[in-house]
Amino acid sequence: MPKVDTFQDLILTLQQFWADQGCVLMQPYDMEVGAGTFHPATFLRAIGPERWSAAYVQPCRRPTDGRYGENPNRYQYYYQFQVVMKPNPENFQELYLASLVHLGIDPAVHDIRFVEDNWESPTLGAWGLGWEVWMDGMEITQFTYFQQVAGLECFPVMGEITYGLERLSLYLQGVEDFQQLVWSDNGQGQPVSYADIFHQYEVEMSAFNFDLADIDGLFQQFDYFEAEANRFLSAGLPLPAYEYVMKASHCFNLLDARSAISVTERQRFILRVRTLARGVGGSYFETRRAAGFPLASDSDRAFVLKGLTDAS
Amino acid sequence: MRRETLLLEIGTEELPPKSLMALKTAFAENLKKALNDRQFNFGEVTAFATPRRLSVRIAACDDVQPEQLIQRRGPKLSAAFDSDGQPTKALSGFLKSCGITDPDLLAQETTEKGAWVVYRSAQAGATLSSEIQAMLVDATATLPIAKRMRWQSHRTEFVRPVRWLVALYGQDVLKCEFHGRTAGANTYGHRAMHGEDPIMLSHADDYETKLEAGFVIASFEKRQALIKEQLNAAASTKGAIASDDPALLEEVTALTEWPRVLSGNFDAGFLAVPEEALISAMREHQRYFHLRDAAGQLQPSFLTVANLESLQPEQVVTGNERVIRPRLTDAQFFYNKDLQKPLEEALRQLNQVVFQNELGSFGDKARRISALAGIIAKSLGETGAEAERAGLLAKTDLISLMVGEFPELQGIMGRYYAKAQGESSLIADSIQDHYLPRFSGDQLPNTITACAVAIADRIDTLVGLFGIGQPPTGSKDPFALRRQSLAVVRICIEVPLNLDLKMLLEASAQHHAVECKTAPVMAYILDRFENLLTERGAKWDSVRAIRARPSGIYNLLTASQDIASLDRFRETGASVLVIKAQKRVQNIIDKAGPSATSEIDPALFNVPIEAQLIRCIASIEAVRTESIDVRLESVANSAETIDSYFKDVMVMDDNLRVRENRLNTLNHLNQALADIAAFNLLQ
Repeated sequence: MPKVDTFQDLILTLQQFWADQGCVLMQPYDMEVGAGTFHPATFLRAIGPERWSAAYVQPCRRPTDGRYGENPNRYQYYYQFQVVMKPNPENFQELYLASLVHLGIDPAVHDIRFVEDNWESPTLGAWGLGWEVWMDGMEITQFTYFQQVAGLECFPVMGEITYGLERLSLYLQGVEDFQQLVWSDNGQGQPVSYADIFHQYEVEMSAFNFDLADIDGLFQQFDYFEAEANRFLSAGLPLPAYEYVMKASHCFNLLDARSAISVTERQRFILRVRTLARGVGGSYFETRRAAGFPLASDSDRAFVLKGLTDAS
Repeated sequence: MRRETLLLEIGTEELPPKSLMALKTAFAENLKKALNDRQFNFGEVTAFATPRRLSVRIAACDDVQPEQLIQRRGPKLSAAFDSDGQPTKALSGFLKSCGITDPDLLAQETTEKGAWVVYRSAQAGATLSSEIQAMLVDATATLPIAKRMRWQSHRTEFVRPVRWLVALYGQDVLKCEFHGRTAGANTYGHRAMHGEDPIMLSHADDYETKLEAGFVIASFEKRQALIKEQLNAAASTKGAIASDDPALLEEVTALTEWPRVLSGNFDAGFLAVPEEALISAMREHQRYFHLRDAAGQLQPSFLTVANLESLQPEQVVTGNERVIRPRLTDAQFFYNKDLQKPLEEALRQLNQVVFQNELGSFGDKARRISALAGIIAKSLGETGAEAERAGLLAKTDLISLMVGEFPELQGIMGRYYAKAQGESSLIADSIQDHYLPRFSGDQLPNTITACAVAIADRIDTLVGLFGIGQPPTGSKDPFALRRQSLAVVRICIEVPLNLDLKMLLEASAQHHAVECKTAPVMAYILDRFENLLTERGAKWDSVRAIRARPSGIYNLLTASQDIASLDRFRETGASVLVIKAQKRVQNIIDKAGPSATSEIDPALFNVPIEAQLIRCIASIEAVRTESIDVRLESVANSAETIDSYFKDVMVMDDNLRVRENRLNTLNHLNQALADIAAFNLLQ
């Protein structure tokens, strides 16, 4: 059993566990995202018949969740550990539970439950069915079977596990507040805490998100990113287009935190991002089809291609 | 033939808790129907459900259908045998098609149309094992699944991924499959307490006991009773009473296979936050039951229902206490933040929140509610000032952080915030109570001010949505206009309030920026009125008869009283005569067509009863402005005269002047009666 005393032990242990299950270990996407689902290794790979399994850490930004570092478990910047497997293995739940045991969590002690929580992302035109996983009443993981992404049916189904690393660490380290989490401890000097690394960042970014982000500039940026995404879509380049969708989406989140978007406008903005995301999804599907869906199993590829022929 | 227990269990990943009861019932009912459709005899049916399984046990189930009697009709008897008594060609063909050669095996059937030869045979019934697959398909095809899902590379859909299937008949596995799973005798126990090893069922009768040994209580009802018992026990050790919450109890029962109630505490400092907010945080986010002492005071503790008997229950408690603290911290944060916002600022912010695109913001709506609530209160004899203020503030809590987090606290928080900012109790209470009644059978607001705001809010929504062409349809009613109309009806007739609804609808229309026609709204509300009264025992045609009188219905309260009076009148013998006579009058008038004049000349009377009828009409009209009971009494007093009139008088007299005079008399009578109720609509 590995030693999981620190936050970074947790990351290393999960990485090893899922690498052993055949996942491609990826790195965080180097752009602002609201959830690990935005990473192309999830969003784009969920589209089309190709097989894919990956695991990675993703820092997430949710500007409205900032509490100036004062709430024990609500931050505007935090870490998710994302696992995707497509098609989901039939023992996906058991693999997940085994990962908890691997972290030293004893299921005979802790009350671990799968509580219905169906996931929907209006901006990504995506939804899935699944659960939030509770441990002793705390949501530590989101567990989803994708049914639709970018308005396209998911076949085969991608299974997604999203661990909330900080919340899981509260349990593993037996502390009450993110600030108290030990990030690393080499046993030779002062341990480095979560607060040492992020507290000042939370305070400053909460001020930025709620009070200082430039509203006019963000509106202009949103329009610009949207126009660029469309330009790249016209050029048949879904990957750069998608990066601009992520940028636009983050702009929207910041504007939301600044209360700059009224309720009706909110719907319109979501619709604009969704339209782009759908465009990207459709375009990505076409480029993979042109490439012959190289990572798909023969039967899944044949099924999807036949569906397309029948439809046309 | 065997008669044994049949057991079907579909093992799944965790099912949606709020649908579990419905799924359980539907699966069992569908299976019963499938057995009945196939004429299998069976005994008691028991349905089971846990988060990971739906199952049905059928006691004393036959393994084979009853023998099926088959009768085939052959040629006519006369065409079956030739003159020598030998089988004809037709009969030989029939014998062959029945697979027999001996005509003596045939019987005869005689009907009115003649006699035929028939072949009767008994066919063995189908076996359970041959039918089980089809019955499983039937039993699962129409389950109430809100959202179906796919998994892996399968093309089929179900509630959640299917993991195993048990189909046992006594000790025998029945061959069938479901979503790629082949039936076996293996089920699975509690994930953590039993582990992932299968539990082998050696007999269908062992189901509950074997599962219980695997830490699963299969029966929903048993788990529910156990949780209730544990909740009460845990509460009483704390000297407190656990919240009685059937919906929450059902949900936690659906979330557990081996329930264990644990209790935890939170910092008593949080009790400064309104208790509704604390309860919402505990209930909605954590599925906790809250506790009160004997005096009803909320306690700084909670009960949670864990899904295992933990080796270290104190760890589960610590974990839960760790979760509730940030939740309550957030509730406290929201409450304190909300308190700092002046109501006028909240009102300004309502202008940013869209009520409905064409009907403006909630700020616009608040101003309309205010104006209309004032009109209502004034028409009920109040100054209207409180109603206007309460109406204006009624929606301010919609922009509060707390209601953003817990929508079910709308109104409740509004009351707290208004009170905290110095509004009177009457106004604060009206902000909360204007949402009453929230559902059928709910209580009603109990002050004129609250009633005025409650009615104004709903009329505003009704008039506006009808105005922009979005009335409810049979299947779609996103603004719950049906419920809102019923609320208006109930408040008017039960509080009770003497209100001119037509005037209010028109006043509401004038406050909308878009042009709104009120007649369809009135008709819609009256349809609800009609349904409600008939549900409560009024005769539907009495309701129609009052609704159809020329003055119509504007005041629901007086109309409901009129309907009750008419119903009472219809218990009397006189009513029978009146209704019969009125129909006759209507017929004669319809046939004769319109008269040239309406004058009645007594000089043309030549039968005594004619003058008598005129006096009756006069007496009916004399009490026009009296209550309907008095008016109906005058009708009852005239019933015999009206009835005799038709015996003594030939209306269609050959003398055209006499005829017209009589028709005019009847017309006059008809109008006098119709003004009270449309008697012709009464059955």
